Amino acid sequence: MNDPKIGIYAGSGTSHSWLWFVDLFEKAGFHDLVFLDEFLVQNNEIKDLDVLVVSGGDTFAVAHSLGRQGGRNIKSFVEQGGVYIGSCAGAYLPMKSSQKPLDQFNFVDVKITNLSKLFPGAEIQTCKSCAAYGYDFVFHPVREAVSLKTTSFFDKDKSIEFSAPLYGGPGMKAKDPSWVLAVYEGFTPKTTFLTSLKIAQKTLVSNGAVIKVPLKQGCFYLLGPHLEHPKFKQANQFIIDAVNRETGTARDDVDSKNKKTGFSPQDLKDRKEQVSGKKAKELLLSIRRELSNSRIVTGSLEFLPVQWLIGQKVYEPQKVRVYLESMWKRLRALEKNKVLILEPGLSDRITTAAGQITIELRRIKQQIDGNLDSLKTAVIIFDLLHILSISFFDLYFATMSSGLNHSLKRLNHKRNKFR
Amino acid sequence: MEYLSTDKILVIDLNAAQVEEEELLESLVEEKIGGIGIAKYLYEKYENDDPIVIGTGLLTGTTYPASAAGGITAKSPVTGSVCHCPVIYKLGVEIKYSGFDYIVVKGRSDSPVYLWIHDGVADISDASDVWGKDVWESTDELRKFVGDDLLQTMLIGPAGENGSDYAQVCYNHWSSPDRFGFGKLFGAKNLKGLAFRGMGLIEVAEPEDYVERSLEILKQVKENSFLEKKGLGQILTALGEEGVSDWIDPVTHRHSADYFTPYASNTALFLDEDPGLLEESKKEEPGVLVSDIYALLGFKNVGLSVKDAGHALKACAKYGIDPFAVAQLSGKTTLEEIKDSFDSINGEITIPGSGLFTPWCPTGPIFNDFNLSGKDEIMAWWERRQAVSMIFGIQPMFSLMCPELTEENMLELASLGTDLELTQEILDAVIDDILG
Amino acid sequence: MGIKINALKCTNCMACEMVCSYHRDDGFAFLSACIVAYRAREKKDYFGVLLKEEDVLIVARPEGLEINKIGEEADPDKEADASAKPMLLREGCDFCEDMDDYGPMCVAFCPVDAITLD
Repeated sequence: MNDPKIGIYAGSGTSHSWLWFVDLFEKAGFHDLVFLDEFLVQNNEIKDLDVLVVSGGDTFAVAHSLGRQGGRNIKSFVEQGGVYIGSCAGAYLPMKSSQKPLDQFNFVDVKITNLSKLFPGAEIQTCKSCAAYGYDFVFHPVREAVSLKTTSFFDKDKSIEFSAPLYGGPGMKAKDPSWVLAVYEGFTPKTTFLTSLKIAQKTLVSNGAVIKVPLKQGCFYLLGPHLEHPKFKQANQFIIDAVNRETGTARDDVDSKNKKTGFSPQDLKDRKEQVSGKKAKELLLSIRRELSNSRIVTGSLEFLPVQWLIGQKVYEPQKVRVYLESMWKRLRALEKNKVLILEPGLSDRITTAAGQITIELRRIKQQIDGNLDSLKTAVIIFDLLHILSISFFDLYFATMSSGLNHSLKRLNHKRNKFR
Repeated sequence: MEYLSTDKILVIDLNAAQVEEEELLESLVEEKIGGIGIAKYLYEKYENDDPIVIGTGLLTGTTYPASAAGGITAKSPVTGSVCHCPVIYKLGVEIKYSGFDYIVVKGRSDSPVYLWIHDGVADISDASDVWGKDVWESTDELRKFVGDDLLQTMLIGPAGENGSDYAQVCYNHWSSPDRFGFGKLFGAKNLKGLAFRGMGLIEVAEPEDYVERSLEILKQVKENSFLEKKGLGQILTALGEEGVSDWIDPVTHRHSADYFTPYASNTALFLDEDPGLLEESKKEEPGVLVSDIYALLGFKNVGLSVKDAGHALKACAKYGIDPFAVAQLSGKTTLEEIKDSFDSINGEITIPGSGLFTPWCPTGPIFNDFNLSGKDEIMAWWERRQAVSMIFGIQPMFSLMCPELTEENMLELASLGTDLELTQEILDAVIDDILG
Repeated sequence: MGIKINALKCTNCMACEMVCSYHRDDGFAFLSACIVAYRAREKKDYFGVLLKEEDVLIVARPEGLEINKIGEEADPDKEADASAKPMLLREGCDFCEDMDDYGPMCVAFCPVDAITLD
């Protein structure tokens, strides 16, 4: 049986949390991963997927990037049997809204509970990530780990409690209560309150944290908290179980869909080229060189009091490190392969982006040291990180799952000596 | 070589501008242990290419107390024979964590270059932007270029570029234990130096036992009453130079230690700033960090004030010249004269014993007597102690202070760390090979 | 229980950083440490220790201790923010709870007793 084919949206507007999905799926043994930017979604490269993941980030920026056509394609993907998993910003995206450009994504009848208008007269802390939402704004009552509890619509015999971190995701009210698979049960010692306990409770407790909304042959999974966060194993398992459950039933359809469209995993592999010998070594060395150069600069930024407001989201230098480490930790495993599998042109894309990131990071370090404005450079860096990481993961998963090299699972357990 | 090692030897051919990697074989470690044991082997292997071998000790960068040191092994322009210079501060550790246990630099580059060693990558980089600049400017420039203030450098200044016999390889901004004129060798190769940064991981065969024994040894070390002291003034006092401590007190800022080294043997002198300042100085270059007790003493002995001595040490560090040689051989007695004399330093300084090790280290025990008596016994002990320190990577000054750091427990930890059976017989043979 | 740092006693040897990272990695490294020997102002001989605890970052400077709540902006007048997740890659200090024989490793291994238990 083939792995479910999972597309992870990593284009404009996303934060680093899509990398948590990469870790999660890799650990679960799902290696047929595709990384998408807004152009691929607009070109409907999602149509042959089993699952589409849209993770955290800036909902407005994601909506703006995907545009009307991206919205149409997502809707059609789900209607034809696809599973949409949206976490945090990805959960807000398909909800009904009159706000532009979110109005192009009115797919599910789910309401947000963390809207300020629901609390007239209450003192709700405004903060830099509070986003205007129509005539109102979304507020964030708490952050960090919260408790969740599954409902009888998830399992009528027993309920499961687990925790997951909330970093700005929604509390939700579904039109149909049976859509709610898990509710916010309460808080944990690690929860940080950004409003009063009373408002936090009213906003979240007993409201939807995980919702599954059916749409024709497919469905939307909306996750308020980041269930994919690597430190929350039970929450991680919830996602894996959902993917298994949904794609297990859809698999026959997938096979027939492949036949229908002429698509097969082998076709995809055939479109890619094999690189070995000196060329492969040089490519890997140049990736190592630039990732190392970039990690070194980023390490020195770690303790500097700097952050950037890009769109509606705040970015710190540590987020650059999250991207770099996600590639660095996989590099040694990749280096053990004699043959690399990659699309034509990918090698150049990787080396160019990696080299450019080093240059821009060195530039931003000098700007910060010189007390100069560094926002524009930060925007460039995060754009380049998206390009590089998408390309790197294309290379990585194509190579590691090709069957030409070491087993992916075996290598996953090997320590990366030079992290 | 799986443990306590990066598993890699880097061979850089400056003639061909080529970089090659060799595996560090376990059999070589079983025979030569590490540090200058292996560096000497590599020197001999590439002898015809006039190599400089930079290496780390087997225990360098671990939890063994004072496991701070690396070494440079090359033919000294001062002695004409192969010598070993310790790499101190945090530089020795950075070499190992940057991804290579040993680096062999052979041949000569057509144009000035520096080697950028990072996370298992070695780049031969154009040094035209820093060639001609002093050690401080060059270090600052490289740090700015790579965007990291923690970059560790091993560079030469104008003295090395101009071929001075006493040109020194400096570590970051500071003078080093190099009494061998290794800076001249770098200059002759058109090699401005090396820059290191690494975020690697060194694996240990028996990590729990290794760390447990390290702590036991550290606890024994901490029983020494000399650890209540700090700085190079106290070292000189212990060596009978009573007046130095009081002399430097008025300009002493703070004392700092090499990696994991219990005694803080580096003293910062504030020359253009209040030495009592606790906040970060607003001045870019408030003073100088001094590790060379005999250079400091030398400038005192020619009659300089402590401030002028500090300025002389700073000027030597910038120019990349051995400050001890300057104090001994310049024949000058004022700061300005001394600064003007750098290009004309010549003559001989005494390298003790068989001439393998640097007299930057006192040639006898410090703070403890190690139950030694008689000049010959002390010299034999000193040479062996230096060899052992540089095989295992122990800060060589601290090893002269601390009897608890024994050959036996170094071997024990090396065996625990590597899963190899490293015996006293092997160590004796390696030392015999080094001492000749 | 808390970790107490005497920045004036510290000699910037990095022992704390090494053993803290060891406790997380089971190998020798520096990257995972929640305690860091600050040494980026080498020419000015300005050094101290940074310790990341669960909710706060302790900056032990020679001139005194500074405690910053994690999640705060650089501007202390501004409030903690939902999306701020600083030092993402470094865990907060767990007092080496899994190292039964040692207690906090940085305390056990500090050669000059600049780090102690409060």
